This record gives sequence, structure tokens and C-alpha cells, in this order.
Amino acid sequence: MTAMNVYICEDSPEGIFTGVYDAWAELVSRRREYRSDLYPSEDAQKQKEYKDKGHEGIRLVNFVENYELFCSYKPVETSGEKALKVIRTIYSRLGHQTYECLFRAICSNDPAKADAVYHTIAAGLSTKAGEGIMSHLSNPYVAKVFELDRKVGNETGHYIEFLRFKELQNGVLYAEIAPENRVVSMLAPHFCDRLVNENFVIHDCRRRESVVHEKQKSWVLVTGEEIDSDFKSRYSMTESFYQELFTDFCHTISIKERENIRLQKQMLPLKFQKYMTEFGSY
Amino acid sequence: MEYLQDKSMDLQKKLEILSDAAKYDVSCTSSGVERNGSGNGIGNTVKAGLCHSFAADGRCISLLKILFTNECIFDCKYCLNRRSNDVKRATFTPDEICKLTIEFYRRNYIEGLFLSSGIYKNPTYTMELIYSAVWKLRNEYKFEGYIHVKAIPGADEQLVRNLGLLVDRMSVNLELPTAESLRKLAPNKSRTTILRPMRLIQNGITQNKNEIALYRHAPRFVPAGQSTQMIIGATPENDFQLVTVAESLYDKFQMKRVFYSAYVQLNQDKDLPALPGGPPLLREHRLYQADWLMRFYGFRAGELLSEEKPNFNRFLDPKCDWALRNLELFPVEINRADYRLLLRVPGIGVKSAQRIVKARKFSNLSFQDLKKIGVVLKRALYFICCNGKMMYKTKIEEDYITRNLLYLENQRPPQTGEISYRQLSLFDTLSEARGI
Repeated sequence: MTAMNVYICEDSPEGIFTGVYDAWAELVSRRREYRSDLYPSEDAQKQKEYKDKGHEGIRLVNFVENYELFCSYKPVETSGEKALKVIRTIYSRLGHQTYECLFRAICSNDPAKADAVYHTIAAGLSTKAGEGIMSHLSNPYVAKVFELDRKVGNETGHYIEFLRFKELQNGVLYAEIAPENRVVSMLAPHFCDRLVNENFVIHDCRRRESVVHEKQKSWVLVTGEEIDSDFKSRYSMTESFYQELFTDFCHTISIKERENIRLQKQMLPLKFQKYMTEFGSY
Repeated sequence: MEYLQDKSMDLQKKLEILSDAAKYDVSCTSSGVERNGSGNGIGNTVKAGLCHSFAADGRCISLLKILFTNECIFDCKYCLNRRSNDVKRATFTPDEICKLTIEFYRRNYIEGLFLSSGIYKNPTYTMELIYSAVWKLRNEYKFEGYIHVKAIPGADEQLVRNLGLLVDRMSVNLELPTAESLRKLAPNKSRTTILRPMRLIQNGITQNKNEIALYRHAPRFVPAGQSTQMIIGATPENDFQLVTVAESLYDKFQMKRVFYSAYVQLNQDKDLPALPGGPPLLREHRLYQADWLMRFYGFRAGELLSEEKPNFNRFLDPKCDWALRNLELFPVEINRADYRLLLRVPGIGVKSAQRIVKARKFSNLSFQDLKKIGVVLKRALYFICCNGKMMYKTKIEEDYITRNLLYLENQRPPQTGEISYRQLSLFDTLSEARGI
């Protein structure tokens, strides 16, 4: 019985890509050992032991809830260098679109994401699929990555539409969101292009991550910092005026004869409404 | 330029009056043009369009939809702002419009501006007012987001051409599908004054495409195309007439969108129908479904409806309805059928059809895979087979499929041995469902 190798990697793109690197490297070296052992093959027992399951014998996780039997657990130390090698390989062999899918899947909060990412990369590199790997939907791992990619992409899209800035006393625009997945860094390019001449902060209050953009400069991701709650509640003079205007606008624009609250909730779920100006979060 | 305005009226009141007056215009899309910010202004546009909020009627709020003024010299019978109605009138100034747009846009409330207007003094004068506001917004306030304006029928042509270079989308409302209805309900408008600016915009767009092919940085004329809207249910036209008109608008005027607006009873008039059941929302919904079928699924108006069957089935969507009338084409083999045929299967949309075509290059697809791909099996299962096998034992029979589509809560049709009969009822709606 060959053991399942479980790699425990950090929950970040670098961490998972390092995990992919380490798992792959170990598989390759084990196979090399096996082959060199094969030829002076005296020890049948040893051969049996080395008979590997290939990629099927590998699992990547971000944390261990329950240790299982017949598994060897290996913690992975995150290394930027290894991650970069993996990213480069994905870019050249599987194409940038696949990379973007994988990246979005990694940003999700699904516990099975690391494993799905590993096996999708493995399937892409070991078959002829190449750049078309993401359309190989009958492969369960690819289907999983596809599903996560869609989930995260949809959530990003929703926050691009539904987040609301409030103008603080010093003119900075401040938005607070509580996304399920780590989307805050994917929101940044859109808003930086749109609001080049504004200073703005988008704060993810679940993960305490913020995108900070200074007028005419590129954005930065700030992690682990708490926003001064006193400061963020001091709005500029005109802020409440425009909030009221927009709230009134949303009321008058609706046609009474067509009222359909269920449709509204379907299009704009309550979890978003909680943070939106026009639904009374001010 | 002088403006007729009540100095005492504050911005809040004006916005209330003028957004209330604008809400019956359906078009609120911000799609069709991808443009990055230039770096000196504010704003960009996204090809797919963005909806920033949803009103209590479930319609999206993506643009700041307002009228410049609701003063109007016309007397269209269906309209709230007709001159014979006693409603509060208000007029914005261009600066107020610009300020509102920018401040809303910065806070990510809206995607841009939708500016229409009542006819104040005369069409050309009104168009000038709109032009001045849009010019200011683009050049003084450096707004680079989405702008949609209404071209006022009968306005000076040069003005329409100039305005087209500043905005993303222009639209002229067809209002009613036939010239006769128009004469009856909108005595100040005529078919020719509506079609002329439409043609003008269309020619402008074509000409501009050639210019851009030659000079890449040529200014863009109405890059997101033009749209129009028709009122549904105020006049006696049937669905077949409506979809035929829509089809010819797509073919002959290269419309990006035709909107349908269920008639809401605002005025009492002898020429207007009484609608005790509220606006005809289901009919509007069916028309939109048919509209999508024509734009993305390759259907023609004549396939969906005909002179003999001029109205949509109330119980079944147009695609299912079409499939049931053309059962000889089914079942469709998922692993082999061509893309255009896949598109015609109920339960398979554009995206899932594309995914099927891509995924079947790698392996044979099963029903499990189809589920993951996003096919709605509960509808599709009567019309497809994978590797020569259908999902369940189902009959390819109009009555049988209709019954299952309409009455089955869960997705599985009854199997042999299970109870598959049901109590007959005198008030059976089945014959109605089949459009007999």
C-alpha cells in the first residue's frame, strides 16, 4: 500500500504554487529513484512499495481538520522563487487565461481549491490539452477549478457594481465590503482606471485587507491593518446630501405598478444590500 | 441661453420630479463600448455594462436616468408629461446635471448619465439644451463614463451629428409599432420624423466605422450603437407584428437593442385601453425572450410566430414552444450535433452550447457532465441524447412533453411501473397550454 502524500501549504497564491512545486518535485525524484532501483531489481518488496499512483497519490490542503491514516503530512514552506517558477511554467505551457482561472480559484474560500489547482496543472502539463485545459470539463478537478473561478469572478463582478464609496472629511473615498472570497485585489484595477484622480480605500473587513490608491499613482494592498473607526465615520460636508439624493432617486425611479421585491432580491441579494447606501446603511 | 426655471426649487425636488418623469423609459443599459480612462479625467466604460443597483420593481439602475425638462409642447396620450396634464414642471441647468453625475459616479452609484427631455419650445431648441449639458460634462468636468441621450425627432440634423460624437449611445423611440397607432396616440409625432433621425444615426455609425479603419484616432460616433423602444399593450397590435417590426429594426437599422415597455396606465383617455390586471408584464417578458432568440440564437420572427398563430403561448417560453412544434428535429445528439442546432434545444443557452462544443473535443459527454456545464436538464432531457441514449425513458410526443414541462415539480419524468396517470379534470388547462 502506497501512502497518500498530503502537502499542507499556506493559503495564498505563493503558498499554493510552492506546494505545487514541492509535490511535483518529490514525485519526479521518487520516480527517478524507482527507475534506478528497477534495473538491479533484487528486491521485489521494494519495487512494490515504490509502485506509485502518480498524481493521484498527492493531495494539497491549506489546513488539516482531521488527520487520516495511511497519509504522510508534509508542511510546505512558502517560497517566492518556487512559486514564480510554477507561474512561469503555467504562463508558457497553459497560457495566461488558464493562469487567471487558477488565480481566481485560489482566491476562493473553498477548502478543496489547492488540490483542484494542483491536479488541473498536472492534467494540463501531462496531456496534450495545453492551453485548452480549462475546457476539459469532464475532468473533475478542472470542473472544480472552473466552478471556483466562476464563483470568484461573479463575486468580483458584483462588488464592482455594488460597492459604495463614502467621502470622508479629507476627501478620501472609503468603501467597506465583506466578500466571501478574497476579491479585494481583483477590484483594484477597475477602480484605479476609473478613478485615477481620486484617493480611495477599499477595505475588506473580513480579512482586514485594504486596497489603497493615491491620486495618479498605482495601488497597494495593505494587510493586517485596522482602519481607525473614528476617522472612517467622519464624513465630508456634502456626503449626507448626496446619499439622500441617491436614496430618493432609487425610490422615485421605481414604477409602482410593476413592483416586484422578489426580483429585486434575486438580482441584488440581501448580503450586498447591507453595505449599500440606498438601502439605509448610513 | 435662457432657462425657464423656478429659482426657489432646490436640487432635491428637481431630481425627484425629473427622475419620476423619466422612469417610463426602459433603456438603462451601459453596455456596448469598452474604453479605458485617459488618465486626466474621471471614468471608463465596460463592454458588458454594469448595473449598480436594483429598484423595487426589479429593474436595474445603471444610469442616472433623468429628463432635462418635463415641460413639453407635445400631447402624446400615453405620456405623463403631455402638455394637457397638470403635473409639477421643472428644468435642470447643465451645471446641476454635471455636478450630480460626477458626484454620483465618484461614489460608484451609477455608471453614467441617461439624458432625455420633454420638447421645450421646439425640438431643435431642446436638442441644443441637451447638447450644452453633455458638452459641459465631457469637456469641463472631464467625464469619460457612459452617456446615453435621446435624439429628439425633428431636431436639426447637424446637432444630432455633433452630439453623436460626445455620447456612447443614442436612441430614438419608435413608441408604437404601426404608423396608424402612432397617429392615434401621438398626434405630434409621425413615423417619418422618427425614422429619419434613426437612419441618420445609422449612417453616421457606418461612416464612422470607415473613418476609424483609416484613421485609428478618429473621434467615435455613437460607439455603443443605437436602441429604441416600443410600448406594449396600449394599441391592438399582436405579438407577431411586434416581433416582425423588431426584426426589421435589427436588420435594416442595425439596432443594438429594441426595448419593450409594458404599457402602464397613467392617463385616462378614450383612445387608451383600460388594464384592470395591471401592465401586461408576461407579454413583455415573452417578447424579450423572443428578442433574445432572434439576437443570439439565430431564430427568425417567422419561425416563432405566424399569421395563424400570432401570439405567444402564455404557459411555455417561445423556445420550448418552437421545439414542440418541430419535434422531428429531436432528440439531438449532444456529442455530434452542430452548434446551431444545440442552440435551439430548450435548456441549452449560448454559454453552455459553447462549452459543450469545446468540452466534447476531449471526451464523450454524459448527462452528469452536462449538468456541470450548466445545461438545465429538467427542460433539456426531453430533447437530447448522449451517445445515443436519452436520460430517461421519455416519449417524443407533444402532449407528453408539454404535460411534463408544465406540471412536473421535480425534474424526473415518471418511470415505468410508477404512477404516470392523473385525474382528468373538466377545467383542464392543457388545451389552452397547447395554444389550441
